[in-house]
Amino acid sequence: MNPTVPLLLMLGAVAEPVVHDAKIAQAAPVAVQIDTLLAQHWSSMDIQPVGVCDDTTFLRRVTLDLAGRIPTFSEAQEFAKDQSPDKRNRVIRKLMTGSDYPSQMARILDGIIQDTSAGEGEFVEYLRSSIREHKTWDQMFREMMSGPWDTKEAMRSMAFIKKRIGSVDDLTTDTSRVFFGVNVSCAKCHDHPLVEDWKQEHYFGMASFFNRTVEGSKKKKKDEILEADTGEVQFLTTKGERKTAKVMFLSSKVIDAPKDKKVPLREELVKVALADNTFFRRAIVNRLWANLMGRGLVDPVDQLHSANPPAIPNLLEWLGDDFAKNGYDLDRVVAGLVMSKAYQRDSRGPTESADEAERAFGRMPLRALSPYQFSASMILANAPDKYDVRNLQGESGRFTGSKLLDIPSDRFQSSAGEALYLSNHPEVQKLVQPNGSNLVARLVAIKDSRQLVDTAIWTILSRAPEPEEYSYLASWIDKRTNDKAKAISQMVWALMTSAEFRFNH
Amino acid sequence: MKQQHCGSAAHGMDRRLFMQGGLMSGLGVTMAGMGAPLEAWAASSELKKTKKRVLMLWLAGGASQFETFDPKPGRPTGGPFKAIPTSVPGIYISELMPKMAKLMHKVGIVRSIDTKNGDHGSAADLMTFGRKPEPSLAYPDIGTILAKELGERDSQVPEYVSMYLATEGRPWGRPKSGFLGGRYAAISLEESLKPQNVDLPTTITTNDHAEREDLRRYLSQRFDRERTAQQIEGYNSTYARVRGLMSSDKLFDLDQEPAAVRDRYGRTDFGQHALIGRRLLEAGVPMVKVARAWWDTHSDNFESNRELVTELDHVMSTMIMDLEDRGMLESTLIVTLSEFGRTPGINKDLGRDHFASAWSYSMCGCGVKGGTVHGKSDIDGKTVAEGKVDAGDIAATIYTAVGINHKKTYRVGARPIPLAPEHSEPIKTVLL
Repeated sequence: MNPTVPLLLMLGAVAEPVVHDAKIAQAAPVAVQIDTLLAQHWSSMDIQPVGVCDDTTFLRRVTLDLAGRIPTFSEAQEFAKDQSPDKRNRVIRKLMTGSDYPSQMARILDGIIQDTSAGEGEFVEYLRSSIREHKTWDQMFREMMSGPWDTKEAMRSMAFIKKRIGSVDDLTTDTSRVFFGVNVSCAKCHDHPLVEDWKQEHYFGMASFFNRTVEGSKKKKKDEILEADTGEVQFLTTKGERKTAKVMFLSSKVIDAPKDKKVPLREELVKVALADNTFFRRAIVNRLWANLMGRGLVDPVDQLHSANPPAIPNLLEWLGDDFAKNGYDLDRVVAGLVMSKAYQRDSRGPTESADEAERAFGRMPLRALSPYQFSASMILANAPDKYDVRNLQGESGRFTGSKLLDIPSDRFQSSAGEALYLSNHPEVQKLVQPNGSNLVARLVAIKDSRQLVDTAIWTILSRAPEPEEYSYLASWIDKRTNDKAKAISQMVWALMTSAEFRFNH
Repeated sequence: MKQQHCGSAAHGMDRRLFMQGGLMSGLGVTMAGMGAPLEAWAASSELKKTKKRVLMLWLAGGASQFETFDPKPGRPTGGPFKAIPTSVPGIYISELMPKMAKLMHKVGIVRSIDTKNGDHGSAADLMTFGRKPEPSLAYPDIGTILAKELGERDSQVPEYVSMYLATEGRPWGRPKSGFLGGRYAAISLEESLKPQNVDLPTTITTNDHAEREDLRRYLSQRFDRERTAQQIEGYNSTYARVRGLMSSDKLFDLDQEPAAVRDRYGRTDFGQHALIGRRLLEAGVPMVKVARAWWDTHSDNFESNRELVTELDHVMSTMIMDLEDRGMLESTLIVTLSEFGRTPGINKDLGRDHFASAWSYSMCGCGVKGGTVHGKSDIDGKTVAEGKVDAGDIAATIYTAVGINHKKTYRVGARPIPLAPEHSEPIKTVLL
C-alpha cells in the first residue's frame, strides 16, 4: 500500500477511494491498446465496426455491468444532461468505487468459479470482501487453493476445494477450466483426439497436484483440508501400459515434490502457475472479457490451446502480460475493458455483416440479464420515490427465489417457465399495481399522457421515448379511459418484459 | 406475424385454432383459441399418423426383471412366481403380467442390459441421459432431445412433460435441457398435476392478458428493427406460446375425462397420471414421462411386486389398447425403463438389492418389432449370456424407433456432440 495512504486514512473520509480512483484512471493504456489492436485487425480483415453507442445506452450498459442494475431515473436524466467530455470515464470511476461494485463482481466471479454451484452465501461473501479490499487475483487463487484457513472468515475461501474434495477428477478438471482456461478432461482416457497439446500425461500430471488432498476425518480436524503423505497417480495408457504420473503443469513443466510432505502440492501448483506466462494470466482476463463483451477472445473460454487461437491476434497475450505486470489487479482489467471503445460499440447495425462484426468485437452483441440483474432492475424500475438502491441486494430474492428466471448462457434461450411466471404469478402482478408512491402510482397521478410516457420510458428503459412511441403509447393509454390505472399497469408490464429491458444492449 | 401457418394440410386443425388469437394483433379481441376443446386438438388423423411421440414409463427405484420380463421359475434365484406363456410362442414373462402376456406380439423385450452402476442417482442419470455426465458439458436428457427433434417450432402445447409426484427418488433422473437451453426445458410436475403459473391472474381478464402481450410484442419488435437478433426472436416466440400453454392446462384436468375411462386406467396415481399422459400425447405433446415410484424392493420383494407389477401390467396394457383404439399406437413409442434391475440373490428380508449386470427393459409401438426378445441372461440371471447392451445403445434404439438418426450431432462451440454416445448401436432385434 502507498505510504501516503495511512496518513490520508488518519485524515478520515475519502483516502482510499482517492487512491483507487487514480488507479482506475491508470488503466487508460489498457483501453488504448485494446482499441489499437482491434483497429489493426479490422483493417487487415477489411471489417467495418459499427459506431460507438449513444450516452443513454452506455449508461444503462455500464451500470448493469458494474452495479448489477439499471440506472435510476435521476442517474439517467443527469447523465443525459451532463455536457462534460469525460463524463463516461467519470461514471466508470463512480461505479467502480461505489458499494454495488464489489457485490456485482462477486456474482460474476462466483459464476466463473463455481458455475452451477454458484450462489453459496459464504463464498460469495469471500469474493465480495476480497473485491472490496482490492485483493489481487494471484492472492485469491492462493487462498482458494491452499488457504491459510485459520479463521472463520478465511475459511470462506475453502469452498472451491471443499465442493470438489470427493473427486480428484473434479478438482483437476475444474481447476484447469476455471483458473487456466483449459478443459483437460478429454485427455483422461487418451491423448486428446483433436488437440495436439493435451496428452494423458497432462491430465494425470495436473491430477497429481490434487491426489493427496483429503478432508479431515470426522473426529480429528473436521472441516479441514489436509494433505496426505502419499498419493502418486497411476494411469493406464491406451496401449495398456501402466504409468506413474509425474507432477506436471499444463505447460509440461514437471515439478519435484517438496521434501516436506506436509506442504500441500496445491501450493506448488500456485507457484508453477504464477511462474508460467500464459495460462493463469490469460484465463481470467478472457473470462472477464467474455462477461463484458459477450464472447471471449478465446471461445469457448475453456479451450485455450494452439488449435483454438484467439479471435484477435496478440490482444489476449498483451492483456495477460499487462495483468501480470500490474500485480494481477482485477480492477485494472475491468476498468481498461469498459473504458475502451470496443466495450462501447453499438449493438445496432446492418444485418448482413452482424455476425462478422460481432465476432471481431466491432459490434456489441446482446447479452441476457442475469437473474439478479433482471430481478433488481424490475424492482428498481417500479420502486417508490427516494428508494435506497442498497436495498436491492436483499430484495432481489423476491424474484430470483423462484428460480424461474432464465440464466444467461452461450446460446441463451428463454423458457416458457419464465414467460409464464412473469405473465401470471401474483408477485409479479403486484409489482405493477399502484401502491404508495411506486412507479404505477406516480404515473397514474400524471395528467398529461405524453409526460406520463416520458416518465415511464426514462424510468424503465433509461432513455427518452422516440416520437412514434410517444404517440402510440399515449393514445394507448388515452383509449382506456374507463380504467387508467389498469392501462398504465399493463404498459409498465409490457415495457418491463419487452426484449429491450430483458437484454443488456 | 410468424404464426400464420403455411397452408399445408399437415398442420391440420389444431394449430389453426391456437393461432387465431395471435393474428388479431392490436385489436384486443378475445383469444378464440383459449380453452379449445380437447377434440379439436385430436382432430387431424393425418397428423396423428405422421407426428411421432414417446411415452416413457419410468419405474423409479430399480424394477425387478425377475418379476417382470425375465423370470427364472424353479431356479434358486427365481422366487415364488411362475412364468406364463404369451401370445408369442416361446416367449414367457412373469405370471404377474397376464394382460401384457396377451399383448406380447406388440412388444419388444431386451434382457441383456449391463450398465455396471447400482447407485440410484448416477444410474438414474445414466439411463435418463443415455450417457455418463461430463464435468464441463451439460448434456440434455433423452427426453429433451426427443422433444426437440419431434416437437414443432411454435408449439402451443408443451413439448416435454414429466410427471413424478411421489417423493422417493424424485431428484434422480430429472429432465435437464443442458446445452439445448431454456427453450426445451421440460414441464416437470412434482408437487402437483397443475403446471406452474398457467392460471390467469385474478387482477386481469383474458382480454387484458392478450392486449398486454400485444403491446409487449409491439415494443419488442421495435427493438428488433436494427438488430434482428435471433435471441430477440426466440424471446418473443416464447411469449407467443404463453396463451397456448395456459389453455393446455385443460390437458391436465382429469375431470375432462369420462368416469368410465378413468376407471379403465384404474383409480391409482399411476393409472391416472398415465391417463393424463395419453391426453397429452393425443394433443400433440411429443414427449411424456410418467414415473411410478418406488420399485426399490430391498425387503418384501415378492409381495411388493405383486402390487407393483400387477398395476404396471394393467396400466400399460390399458394404455396400449387405448392408443390403438385412437389410431395412435403406430406413431407412439412406449418405453418402460428403470435405473437398474434387482439381484438374483434374495436377501434375508425376502428382498432383492440393486443389480445392474443383467437386467431388462421393454418397448412397444412406433418402430418396434412386436413379439421379439433381444439378448439372454444366464440360467440364474446372474450375468448376460448374449447380446449385451448399455445405456447408450438403449438411447440409440429409442431414437431409431421414432425415426431420429442417433448419429446426428449438435454443435457446442466447435465440438460435435452425437445424440447417442459414440459406439452406441440401436438394438436391431426389437426394431422394425
